[in-house]
Amino acid sequence: MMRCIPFGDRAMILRWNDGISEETNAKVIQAMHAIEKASLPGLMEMVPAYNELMIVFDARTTDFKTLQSAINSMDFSCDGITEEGREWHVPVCYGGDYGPDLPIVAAHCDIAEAELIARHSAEKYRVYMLGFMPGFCYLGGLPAALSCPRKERPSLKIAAGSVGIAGQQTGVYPLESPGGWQIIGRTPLPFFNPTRFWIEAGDYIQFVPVDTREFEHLQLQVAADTFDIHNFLHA
Amino acid sequence: MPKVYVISPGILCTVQDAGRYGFLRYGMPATGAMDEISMRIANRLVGNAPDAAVLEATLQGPSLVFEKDTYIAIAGAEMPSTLDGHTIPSYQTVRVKAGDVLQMGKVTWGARAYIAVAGGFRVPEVMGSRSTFLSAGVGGLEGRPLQKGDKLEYLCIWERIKAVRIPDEFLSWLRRDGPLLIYPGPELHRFTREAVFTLLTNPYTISAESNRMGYRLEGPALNVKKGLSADIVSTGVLPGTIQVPGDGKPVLLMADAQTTGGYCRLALLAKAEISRAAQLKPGDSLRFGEAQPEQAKELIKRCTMF
Repeated sequence: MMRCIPFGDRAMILRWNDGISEETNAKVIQAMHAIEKASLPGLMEMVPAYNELMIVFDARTTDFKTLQSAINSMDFSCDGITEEGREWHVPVCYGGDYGPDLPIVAAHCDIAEAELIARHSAEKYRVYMLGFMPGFCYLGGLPAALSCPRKERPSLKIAAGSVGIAGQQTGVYPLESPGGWQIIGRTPLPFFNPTRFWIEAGDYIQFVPVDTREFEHLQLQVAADTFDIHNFLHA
Repeated sequence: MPKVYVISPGILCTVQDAGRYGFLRYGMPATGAMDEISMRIANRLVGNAPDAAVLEATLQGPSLVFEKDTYIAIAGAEMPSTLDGHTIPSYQTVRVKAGDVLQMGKVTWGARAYIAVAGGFRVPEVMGSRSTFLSAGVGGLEGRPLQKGDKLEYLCIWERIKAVRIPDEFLSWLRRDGPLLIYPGPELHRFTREAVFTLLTNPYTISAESNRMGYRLEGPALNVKKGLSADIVSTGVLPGTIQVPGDGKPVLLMADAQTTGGYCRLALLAKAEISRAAQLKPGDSLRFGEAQPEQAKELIKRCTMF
């Protein structure tokens, strides 16, 4: 059951049930796409979350009641358009200088480093939402066996592209930032790209181990902007 | 294009406009002028579109020299200013001659002043906006605050500007006192009755841990009901949201705030009140009050009256 809740004088929240589930998140994203297609007047922005959709509107031209009415008359399930999320294969150079905390996580999980890499890169992680930083993906699906507490003392500087684990979560730092995640590798792909955001809620990520030579080759391409992000889309 | 040369940047001066929309879902905050209403007025006073790029000066304004004749206007906080050695008032269209030096002093009312130039400041657009996002180092002037020696291009339209007159009533309304009007947040029901009462009756103080991302408030803790967690699954938030982390101390999110958060959303400011909150600085006291339905329309109207 979806409810509409006012959120101040220029926004509203569509809320599904509590908790995190792929099913609920899929409904959120489906609703977002359907509302977008409906081109409701005054709609400015939508932000999907695990089980909510935040809608920002222009209060000069519309209001909560008008949007609530329009949205409640929509049947998202019958929209006819089921947009499958895209699957991205994200190259990661695990361990070494790029993943200084790989040994720590492996030791905590009581598995060999090679096994940690194999299992971390075997999963398809769902992008539930983006937030916290531009380009930061909230990923679901980290196996419990690979979870590891975050650092007690956060690092002052984590490089952009760093792939980490913190508690039950895994993710990629889109920008250089201080942080407490355990860093197990790095990707050359620009998760924060001011000219183009390429990953969206509802997409999936699979990490693909690459060696340092491949990493540096890709890094040069990214720096020169001669790469095509679509090369990393799983066909 | 002629340039403005920065002799001294003041305490924190960034290029801002009305912000960028369309990217919240990628985790990119809208950013933009903290006091949007004052930005619009400054722009209108020099004949600009209300969302042209301006300089947002914090606590102490910059010293600038203009290469070519133009018009400027200052709105928002009160910072005693001189142009070519002569005192100039805020909220007025001011004629600038080539070589004139604008010197802005320390704030005497408010926190953030907006300097508009006829034609607007011209820095490259990033994601459709000239606003600065300091955390990511993008937008505005190279994603950073102004520094001594910077040169900013401006469009320089000085022959025929159509300045709008701002009524005295509106100017008094801008400097109004009284509680910041708020609406209930989606997690209001999680808080105790005492917490809600406290929020609406007790003054809070802006702590030193406050910036464009948000203000940490000092004051009585606001507690959730027994057995409930202060944390929630991450959800969307907007500037003006009052979040309450586990320690019970409210945080007022502002223009550069993260787009999502995992703390309860107790309430949020009416849009017009965000502009007023932007004029508060560490040490200032504030109170909250419930926005009444009959006030809502008027508050929205005032946001874009100019």
